[in-house]
Amino acid sequence: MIAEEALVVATSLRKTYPIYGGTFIKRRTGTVHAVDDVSFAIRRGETLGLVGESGCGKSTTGRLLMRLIEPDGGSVRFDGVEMTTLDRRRLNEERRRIQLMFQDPSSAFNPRMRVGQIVSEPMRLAGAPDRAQRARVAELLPLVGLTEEQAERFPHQFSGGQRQRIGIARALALRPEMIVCDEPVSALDVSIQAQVVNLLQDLQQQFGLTYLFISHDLRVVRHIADRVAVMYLGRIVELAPKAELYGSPQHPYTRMLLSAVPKTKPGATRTPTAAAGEAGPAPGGRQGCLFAPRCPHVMPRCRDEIPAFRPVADRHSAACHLLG
Amino acid sequence: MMPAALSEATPLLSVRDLTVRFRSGRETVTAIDRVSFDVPRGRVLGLVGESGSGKSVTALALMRLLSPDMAEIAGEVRFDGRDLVALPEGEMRRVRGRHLSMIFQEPMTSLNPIASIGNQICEPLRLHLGLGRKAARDRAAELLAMVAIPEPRRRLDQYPHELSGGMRQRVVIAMAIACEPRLIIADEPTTALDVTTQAQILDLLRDLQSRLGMAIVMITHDLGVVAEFADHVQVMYAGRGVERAAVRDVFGHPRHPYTGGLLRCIPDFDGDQDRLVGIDGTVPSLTNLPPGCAYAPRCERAQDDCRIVVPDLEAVAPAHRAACFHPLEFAREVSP
Amino acid sequence: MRRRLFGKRFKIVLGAGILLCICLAAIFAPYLAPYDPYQQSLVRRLKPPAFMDGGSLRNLLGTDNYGRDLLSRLIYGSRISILVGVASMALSCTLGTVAGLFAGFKGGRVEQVVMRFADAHSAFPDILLAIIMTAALGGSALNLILVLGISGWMVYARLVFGLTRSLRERSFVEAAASYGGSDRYIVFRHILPQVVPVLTVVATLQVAQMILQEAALSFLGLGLPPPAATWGNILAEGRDRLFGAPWIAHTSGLAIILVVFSVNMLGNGLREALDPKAAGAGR
Repeated sequence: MIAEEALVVATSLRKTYPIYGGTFIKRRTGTVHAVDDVSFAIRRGETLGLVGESGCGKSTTGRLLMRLIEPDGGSVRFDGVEMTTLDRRRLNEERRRIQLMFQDPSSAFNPRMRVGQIVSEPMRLAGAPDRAQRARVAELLPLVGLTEEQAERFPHQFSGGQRQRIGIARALALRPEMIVCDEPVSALDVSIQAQVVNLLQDLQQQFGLTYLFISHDLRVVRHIADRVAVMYLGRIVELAPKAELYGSPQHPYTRMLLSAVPKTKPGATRTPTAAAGEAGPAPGGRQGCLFAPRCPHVMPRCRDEIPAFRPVADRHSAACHLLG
Repeated sequence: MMPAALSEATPLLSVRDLTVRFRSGRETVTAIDRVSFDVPRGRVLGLVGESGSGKSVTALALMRLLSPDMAEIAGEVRFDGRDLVALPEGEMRRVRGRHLSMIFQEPMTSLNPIASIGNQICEPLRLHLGLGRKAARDRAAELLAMVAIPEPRRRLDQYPHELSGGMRQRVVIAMAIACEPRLIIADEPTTALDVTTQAQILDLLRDLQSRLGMAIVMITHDLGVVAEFADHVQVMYAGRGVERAAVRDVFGHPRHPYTGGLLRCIPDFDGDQDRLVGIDGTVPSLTNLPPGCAYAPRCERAQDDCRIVVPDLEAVAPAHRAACFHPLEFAREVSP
Repeated sequence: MRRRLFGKRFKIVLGAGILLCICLAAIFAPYLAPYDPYQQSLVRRLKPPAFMDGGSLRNLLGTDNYGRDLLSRLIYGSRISILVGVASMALSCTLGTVAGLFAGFKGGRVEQVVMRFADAHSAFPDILLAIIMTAALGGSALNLILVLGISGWMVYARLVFGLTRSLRERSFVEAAASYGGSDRYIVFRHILPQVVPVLTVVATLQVAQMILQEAALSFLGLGLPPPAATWGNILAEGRDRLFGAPWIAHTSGLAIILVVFSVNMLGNGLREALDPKAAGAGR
């Protein structure tokens, strides 16, 4: 890949979780492949959208990137530094350059801390002196559209949109180069979503930030992302610049996903029943294409051979036997 | 059941000046304020709004599921000629589940986790239709087949946790249509679901609605769902109805600035735009509403009169009502 | 409208007020008690309280079988009751909190071991454990504290475990970890401060429980041996004279009820006051 200009390169990331069953004695009865052989690169200043339905592994991917979850395999290179082998101390240092933003504005903050303490927490942990912390908080709050005086308040005194602004201020505290945004606007009202999305875009311009924008909302991702990766049951099935992905989706799952989005022009209705089935473990295990059970174009080959993730056009890749 | 005098032209559900006040301690909060709308037989009304708009409270008030100790309901809800607000609780119970049923957002909360699917679907059948054990079970299997659940007989003996989210919502729908009600109130029925599942559930609801001739009140925050699904739309803001018209008119020519703003907030799916146009400010708290139009503080068209008097929902065009002193011009097309 | 004077803190003020009086009485017992609580007087046996027929102002609450002044014995008895109640609560609270934090934060094997041990201990009858321990170690205030303290830790362990488990899943814990916050930092900065308000309430109510248990053990003869002045002992002595001298059981019983009532009042008041939404506000 275009490794020279990439800020972060993930290669073959893997994470599995055991499933325990049994009524009295817990035994391991299976494995969930949360993230399975996921590779991508994000250039500096770029926004990569990561879309997929619940349980597809998009949030886990974001956390693997920051090594908030230890991967079972694969590598993450951030600005040339291999993240997966760093020791604790070096990891904490490197991790200051990547920050995480959360979906749920109600659980993202300790309800007993004041906004000022919340925003300065990353700096406190990084060992910044009190004075510098206070100065930075005073600088950050106006930057995200809050006032300096609001530093003395508690999170529950703010609306959802304002809390998300607090989250952005906290994420910016250490002047990171990259922010992993995990569904940052999904819990917000539509009229507030736009404010937060605009703020994220302004900040990206101003500080040259790189975003991994995780969302299930295909509309918002289409607006904010430069390139988009589509995940299904732990694997990336398609990755392309957004105009390509939304304009000429190649993977049947991407097509199903896009056709399922309700249209807001009345009269311009969806084709009914384009979407079928629900994401679930493939009956044949993980040897074949995971989408095969729901795919309208399934072939015998799809069930026992994992489709390779290969280029189908310029900067556009997909994993489907139809495209082989 | 239906009195012969009622012609097809009278709406199935006619809500007039429905008001719900919640008492908490010494304070009273008006959750919905003089909301009126009609639902014709066999049609779909979309009730759209953001958090705090009162759309879910409206649903609970229609179903009379608000505890009388906490909520004070005023106004009139005429359903099939009877005023539900004044109906004694015993009779209301016979209407609920029989002629009027509800689908909730989170299927897990409306399903009993320790009762089998079969028993849960049979319950309204035996209660309202007086079916015997065997007949109810047969009907339940039929209903599961109607909501496109594979192997319906086998599913009857399963428990909610054994089903996926989409399947659970199908079970909830099967329960809601069990007695072939005339009206279903669906409160964010697809919000907890993935987009591909949502599409399937909406298709299913539409199919059932046309087959059974039910009317649906679809409550949602998702304008896309309304645009697709509803015949008429009522937009709500801070507990009041602000615009009401056919779906084509609301989306094509919104007249209330809030509706216009809301439509502009949705990221474009076809063209390209550099910036989203949000609505400034925050959704007002019901305990602290401004004196005039609740939207005035966020509205770019607001004048002095808006800040003093609450505008009524009045006709701005034939069959198009908006509660605004300075509505948007008709010709204005909104992009998405 | 009078309640408005105390406002929302009415229960706290009332509960804490009564408790404070009792604590002061316990601390200043030698100055307050009119007599030596162990001073026997055969001529003044079983004198009724001053407000009953035959009572006199010399012994306000009457005397017991040995002619000891009941008021003095109750005042001295409050020392044992409060000491045992508070100290055993502190012991079980500490044990349980540490165990719960550990199990909840670490999860996995630690959780299994700690929580199964708590289950096993809960299945073991308290009173049996108390009999075994006092039989082996003898009845003394320290042993009572140990017995009650150890038999009460599971309540806290479960509570703290549950809270910790749910807090650990909250985003702010993950956020702190992502900034390089150590486990220690997260536990002390983010988890413990949110557990403490709930703990305070439970611990307060537990004091009442412990005082009752101490009384029960003494009543059964498993506490401090007579002639020690404890409320349980006085109650036990009163039982034998319930018809001839009911005031012995009544006064000690009322003392226990008063303490338990005020502690419960305080605990409930704290629960209402420490609700995070109500406490943090104040716009």
